[in-house]
Amino acid sequence: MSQAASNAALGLSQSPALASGFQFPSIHNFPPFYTLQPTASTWNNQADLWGTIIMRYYRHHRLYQLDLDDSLTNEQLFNNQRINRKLKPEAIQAIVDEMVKKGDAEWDATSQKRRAIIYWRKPEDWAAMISSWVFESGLNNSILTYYEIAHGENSEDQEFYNIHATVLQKTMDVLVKRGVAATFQGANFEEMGVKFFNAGA
Amino acid sequence: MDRWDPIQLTSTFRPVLEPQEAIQTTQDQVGLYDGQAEDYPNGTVYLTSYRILYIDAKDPTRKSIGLPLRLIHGVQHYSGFMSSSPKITLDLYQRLAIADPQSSSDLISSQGTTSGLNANLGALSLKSEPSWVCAICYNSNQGAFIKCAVCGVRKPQESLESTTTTPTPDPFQLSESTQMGATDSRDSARRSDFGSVTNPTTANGLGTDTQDTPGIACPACTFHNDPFMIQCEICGAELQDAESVAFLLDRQQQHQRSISQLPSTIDSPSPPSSTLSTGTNQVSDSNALKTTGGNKFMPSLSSFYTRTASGNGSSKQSPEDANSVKLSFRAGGNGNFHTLLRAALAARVWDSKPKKRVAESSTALPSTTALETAQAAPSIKVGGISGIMRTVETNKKATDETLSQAFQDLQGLMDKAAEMVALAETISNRLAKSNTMDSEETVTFKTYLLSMGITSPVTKDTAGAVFHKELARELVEFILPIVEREGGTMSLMDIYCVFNRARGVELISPKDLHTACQMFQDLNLPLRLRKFDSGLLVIQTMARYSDDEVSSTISKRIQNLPPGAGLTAVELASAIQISVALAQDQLLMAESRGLICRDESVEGLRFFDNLFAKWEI
Repeated sequence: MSQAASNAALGLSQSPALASGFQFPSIHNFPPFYTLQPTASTWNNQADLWGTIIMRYYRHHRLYQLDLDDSLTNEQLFNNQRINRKLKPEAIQAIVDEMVKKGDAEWDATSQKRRAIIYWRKPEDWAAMISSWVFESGLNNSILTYYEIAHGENSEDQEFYNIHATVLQKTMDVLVKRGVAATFQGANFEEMGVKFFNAGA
Repeated sequence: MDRWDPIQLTSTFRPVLEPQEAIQTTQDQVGLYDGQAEDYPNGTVYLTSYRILYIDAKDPTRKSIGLPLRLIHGVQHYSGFMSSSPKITLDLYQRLAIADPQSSSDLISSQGTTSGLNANLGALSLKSEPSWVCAICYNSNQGAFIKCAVCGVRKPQESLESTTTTPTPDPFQLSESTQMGATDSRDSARRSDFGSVTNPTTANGLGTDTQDTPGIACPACTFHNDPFMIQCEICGAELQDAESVAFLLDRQQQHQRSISQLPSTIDSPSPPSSTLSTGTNQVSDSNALKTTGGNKFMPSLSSFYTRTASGNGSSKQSPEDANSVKLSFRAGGNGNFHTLLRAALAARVWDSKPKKRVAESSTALPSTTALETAQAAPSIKVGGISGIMRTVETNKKATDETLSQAFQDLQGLMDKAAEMVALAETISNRLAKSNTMDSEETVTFKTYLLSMGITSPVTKDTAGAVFHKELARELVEFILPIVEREGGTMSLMDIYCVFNRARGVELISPKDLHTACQMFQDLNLPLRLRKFDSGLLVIQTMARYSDDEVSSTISKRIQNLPPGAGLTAVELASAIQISVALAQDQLLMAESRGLICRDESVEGLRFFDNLFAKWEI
């Protein structure tokens, strides 16, 4: 509460919530927010703020991949029509670079910094979430396809429903490394299989 | 050394010059001695049109002295040999002849005796007199004015104490002398010559004190006017006024003097064709006067004699060697100095000064102009208030004339530069007195006037080797108040413009300005040259405006703006009256300190308070 009050004291107007229910913080209406700040300390603060907003936005909308060419998402997030300001692609790249440094994002190695995965939840967290779901629903010791985890009927109400393939792969890598599960090659990514062993055994 | 007087210095240890005085050359590392103690071993010597000034390098406040050029009667040049520096020896006039201020001013020009030109003496004697209020029209006049600037009535006698020794001619005797024919005046001149030779006090006695004068009877209506009036107070008729007559006579005599080179007869031997057999120095003088054969004005003539006599008497008392002083040029420059000194001595500007004064009277002595015009056009004679009004009108006309003449061509402007500055000062003084100061126009006009005003700019010709040092000093004197008004910082470009504008004609190059500014620190002047990261050069006052202070001021200014409003360099520049380039640099400085942040958009670069640092996620 006190933090909201102190932010409000800075005198920026609050944008109305989006149709999706997401509410941008009022700093989103601050014109310099859309200019890459040349002063190092100011820039660090600015990049932190952007990283936080991007992660909040992606979490709210269950988005995983940031694509500089995906105009639909970028229009909402990086373009503020109210104050007529737009974050330039270079600035977005610089912000993602900062996020990558902190482990909050990862560039798609083949995209030449056009696409990045935003880890609004770390693979370790996803791993814990998925494995606990598997054990709770008694699916351990049986083989599940990636498709069943990400898009199956059983996981419909789960947070990882529609999880991005890359994120899912990262999560599985974590589980395999821990020795909790084993993966099986499939014809394509969605047919890849995974078997969870008995927990903690 | 006893003839050298202490001189006034400016805050940057440059000499304060008289009006009309101009620096001819400057030379540093000059020693000054008269064969005895070396009290003045090393300093900067300035040669002006009137004086030689010595400013000590080590102790400028106490050891700065000046010698009027008129006291020099000879110059010897020694070009130096082996380790001996080049020297210039100045031979001075006898001591007692100039010990008395009254007779020293007589030495320059014998007009000292005529009241009309006493103002010149006031200006020469380097004293600033208090201003006085006219008893007739209550106009407040400058102390140097002998007459009221508006109505022409003379200054009250009690404030003229310094000049009361000057004999004031008897109006009646004067009118008598003017009525005399040419041959008569010659005789009378000789007669009065003898009178003055035999008894100098009689010569002084010729003039009766004006306090005792009963007043001038108007030739038209017989009204007894105040002796100071030039026109009848009742009917406006021209009075046979002592001053105006004396003034005219004096100008004629001065003209003759310029032809006959009268002062040179002091040193020259007597002319061979001597008709009078008294055989004294006075004979040669009276001969010189006789041969010129013009109108003589007795009191001035007699005082001239008195002075010569006293000069002769003193020669026995003062030792010969004290009458010369040596300038030792350790860093060269003696040749140039010698040439210019000779030129200055030959020019005898102090002799022509009264003439200049008359020409300039439209600005400095309006009453003289009024007097002249009144004499030139005697057909219109109005007394009382309308007379005063007309005088004011005449002054206005004269001022207009000066202005139009000044702008006729560049040469004219250069000639009139000093007058223009004097005029600007007069107008700004008048504006300061009047109560219309609140109008914006007046304020603007006043700033224009004030921005004119370097009367004797430092040039490469006059300053020579020390040009940049002198320039730096002049610059600081001129620019310091302006920089303070502008908030402590001004870009070099702005300074270049303002400074050159004030100099008027002797413009300097950007390089010279830059070089001069780089010397601020060495000369221990209160300004500093500073280079911003962007390459912008500025002049700053010392200490008062640190970077931190400027940054926090800007940050506060931005915080006080309505939320969401930023500040551009242009807005900042106009808000605190600095140049845009400087404003931009100050904003960038504040930004680099993390106090503000930028917003680049199609509308340009705006700066905002740094909310990123304050925002809590």
